[in-house]
Amino acid sequence: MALLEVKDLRTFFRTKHGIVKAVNGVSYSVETGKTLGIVGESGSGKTVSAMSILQLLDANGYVDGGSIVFNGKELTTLPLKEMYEIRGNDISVIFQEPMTSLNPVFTVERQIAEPFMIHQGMSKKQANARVIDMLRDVRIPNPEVVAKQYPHQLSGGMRQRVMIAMALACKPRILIADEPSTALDVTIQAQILKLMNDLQEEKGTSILFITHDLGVICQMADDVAVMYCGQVVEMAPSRTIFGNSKYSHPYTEGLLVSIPRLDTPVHQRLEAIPGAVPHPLRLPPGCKFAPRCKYAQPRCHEEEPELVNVEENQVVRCFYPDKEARQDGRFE
Amino acid sequence: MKNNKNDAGVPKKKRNFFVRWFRSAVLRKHDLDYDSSEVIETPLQIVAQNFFSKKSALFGLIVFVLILLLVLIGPLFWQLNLGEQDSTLVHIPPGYAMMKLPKELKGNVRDIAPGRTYGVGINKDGHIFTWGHTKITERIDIKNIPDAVLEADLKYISSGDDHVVAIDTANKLYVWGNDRRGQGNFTSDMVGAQKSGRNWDIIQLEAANQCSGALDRDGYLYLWGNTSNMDLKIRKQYQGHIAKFSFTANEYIALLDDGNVAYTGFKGKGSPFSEIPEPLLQGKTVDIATTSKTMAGLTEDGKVYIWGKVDRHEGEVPEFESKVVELYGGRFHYSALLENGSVVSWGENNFGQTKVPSSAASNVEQLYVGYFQNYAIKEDGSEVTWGLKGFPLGTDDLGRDMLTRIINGGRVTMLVGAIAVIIATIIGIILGGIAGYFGGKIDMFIMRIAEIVGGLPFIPFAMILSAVIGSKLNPQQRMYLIMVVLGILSWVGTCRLVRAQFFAQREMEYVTAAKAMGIREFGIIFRHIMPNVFSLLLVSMTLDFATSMLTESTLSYLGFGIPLPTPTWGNLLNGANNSIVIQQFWWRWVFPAAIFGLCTICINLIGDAMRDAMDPKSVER
Repeated sequence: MALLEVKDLRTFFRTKHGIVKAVNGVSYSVETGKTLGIVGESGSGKTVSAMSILQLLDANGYVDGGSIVFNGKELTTLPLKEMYEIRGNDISVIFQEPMTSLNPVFTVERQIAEPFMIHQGMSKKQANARVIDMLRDVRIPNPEVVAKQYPHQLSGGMRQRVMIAMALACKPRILIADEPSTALDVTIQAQILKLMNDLQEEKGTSILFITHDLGVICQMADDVAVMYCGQVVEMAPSRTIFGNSKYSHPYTEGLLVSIPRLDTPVHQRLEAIPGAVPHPLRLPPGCKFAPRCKYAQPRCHEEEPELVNVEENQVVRCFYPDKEARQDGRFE
Repeated sequence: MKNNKNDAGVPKKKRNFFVRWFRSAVLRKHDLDYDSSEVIETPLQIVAQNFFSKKSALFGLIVFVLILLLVLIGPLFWQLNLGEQDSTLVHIPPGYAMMKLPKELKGNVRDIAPGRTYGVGINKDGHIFTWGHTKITERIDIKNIPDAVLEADLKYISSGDDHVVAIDTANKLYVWGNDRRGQGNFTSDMVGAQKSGRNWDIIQLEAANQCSGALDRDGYLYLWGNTSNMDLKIRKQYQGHIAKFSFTANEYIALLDDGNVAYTGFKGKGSPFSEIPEPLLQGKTVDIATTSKTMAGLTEDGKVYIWGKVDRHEGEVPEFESKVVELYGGRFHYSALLENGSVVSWGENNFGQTKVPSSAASNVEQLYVGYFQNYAIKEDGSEVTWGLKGFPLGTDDLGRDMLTRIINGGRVTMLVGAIAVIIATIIGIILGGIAGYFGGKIDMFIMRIAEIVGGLPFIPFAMILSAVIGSKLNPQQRMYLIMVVLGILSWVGTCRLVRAQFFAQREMEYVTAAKAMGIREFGIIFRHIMPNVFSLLLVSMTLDFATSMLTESTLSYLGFGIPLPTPTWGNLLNGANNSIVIQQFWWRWVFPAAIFGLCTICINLIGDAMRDAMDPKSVER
């Protein structure tokens, strides 16, 4: 049994113009000590699905159906009081913007000490001592000095390390990393990702890694879920997706070929997925990806495909998951 | 090698202790090398630096702190007595020279008459001099001495509340000053005596509250003046036997030539003044004196007896280190000249009347006491004075010291302003925080309440509220009522400010991060978001403080705030609502208005500078 099991999750938002189905029937699971990567464009529902886990939705969002089971507990209906105990303690989150996700008026020490104090009932003194250890764990030089500093005095990478220290403070079982490296420059990004990998090995934390960067996912994740328009369109082990699998979703395929590579000839144009993500209130009736899919058939525009188990551990939401077949024009 | 001396290091600028303390305590800047001081620079320090780099802010802060210290510590030194009032001290302009003898009199004194707020004296040549505040009314001034008096060789002089009497060596009597109450109307027997010269060898001259008395060497007493409030008659059997007399505010007593004290007037029986202590009726009394409400007698053995309406500590006769020789009475105090040449004073000490300076401890030859003043002339002719020197900021219509009332009034005004702001801020923070954080229907509901409260016409509403509820309360409770009314009616601005800030702040990722950390909602509102809003709140509190003080003063000025006699900066101005006060008694409104204006301007300067210091955009880099 997986540590975290999301099943058929449907998270909707009420808006003036109608109900936005941000997450519409998503299922995935996170195993102990493993990393699940979720990839997708902006608005594909990857962040919302993760925020649903901790009931961190905006006021107009609600879970319409499905279940999230963590450690045998159903989280979607969990009272807020119990949820407070889980947040930051069993499951914690690293956010995308290290610049803004630290409180600008608190010192680093105070920010990191807070989870210790509220979840482990430590005194301020004890917590402050642990803060130094945590800062050392996330490889911050001069932890004693940094502890007394304010976020604006730190660089982006340092801030993200502080965020990680804060998130890992109470040794959570699951760490939800919501695009933790997006706002950082490439070298820092690499450092942070390495740090997360190292810490995962040290502490055995499971990670739910959300990103739109396939390169990062490839490095980090054991399993990958590709999301599009609030649905999982493909889920498979990382090796399968990035390796030479026989099956794939056309969207995943499009994403993979749109990565610039060092070995592409200089004058060859980069392939891109045409069109744009459909408006969430005017989703196409059939396959959500059909309007942009170069393999789309009439059937794709009318019927909605189900997730098909094409191979062991690999599911694809497509009528024509066979890569070679559809590239050759064989739609049977 | 040559440069060795210079290489030893650029001499560090030595900072004195205060600057170092200020830098480390307020700016948290330690005298460290460049790198480490760069590291520990909190936002607060940056704000403080920005703030202190502004001259106007520094000026405002210093002046405000001085005013604050004055109104906080001042009341310890200038104690307020709410029941205080004295008809003789009404409307005295600022000044501090009530006991400053003119130089012509120094070492050359024949007689001194300490008056209400002035002094009149004669030098050994019989010439007259005045000093202090001699103006009685717009028209009448003691300083306007008749020419005949200036030319006469004066023997005795005495001054009453608003007139002066003098007699020259030829026993010619002069009266000037206010004579509208019959102060100059001599009785018929006096006129006769003056004409004939019989029984008219004056040895004592006294002036009091609109009346005067003169005593002949043969024991004949002449009294004249306003008889409506004075017992100015002499019982027949005493006439011709009087050795000394002394006026209280409405009566007089006499020492008879047989050494007994007698109430020689007609009021007598039943009044506390007629109950003369037994020892003074045994023919051994040597001196008498009076204050405004009490009488005192001195017996041969140096014992002092006090009777009358003793309610101003006049009865607290101290132990004398030597025999008392002479007794003198002021308005509420007594001074006694001892055999060893020292002086002892007792009684009320509002103006230092009984605080005898050490220089008057010996060799005092002559003592002149009256009202709140004491003049001691020593054997070498030098004078020692103690008592009421004057009022630095004048007095009001009830004779109360303006300085004391301004200082104590400032305390009340600032206290009311501060508590009103605190109440308003607490309500504003709670309602604004909840509205801003939760939004939606809660926000809608709270903001409608805010609009209703904000829409109330403030001053009429506060007036009605304080009039309806206030009439049942005592002044202290009324003060609390005003604080609460001000607080409850002025939270809307703070609420809006906090709400708007919360709307901006709650979208920030750190709020979500705090939520994800498992921090409860009220913790997020008040511990995470509030500190981010606090800088703005502090500015608005500062500015609201000034506004609250002004509003309180407006209400008090209109008479709906804190009632008299409790002073506030607003109701000090209350009396200044007619042209007479504004034109003639300028000190009654200039000083309170000036200090109040200065105070609010300083608070606004501080608030503005704080806003600029906290707003990073305002700092040009």
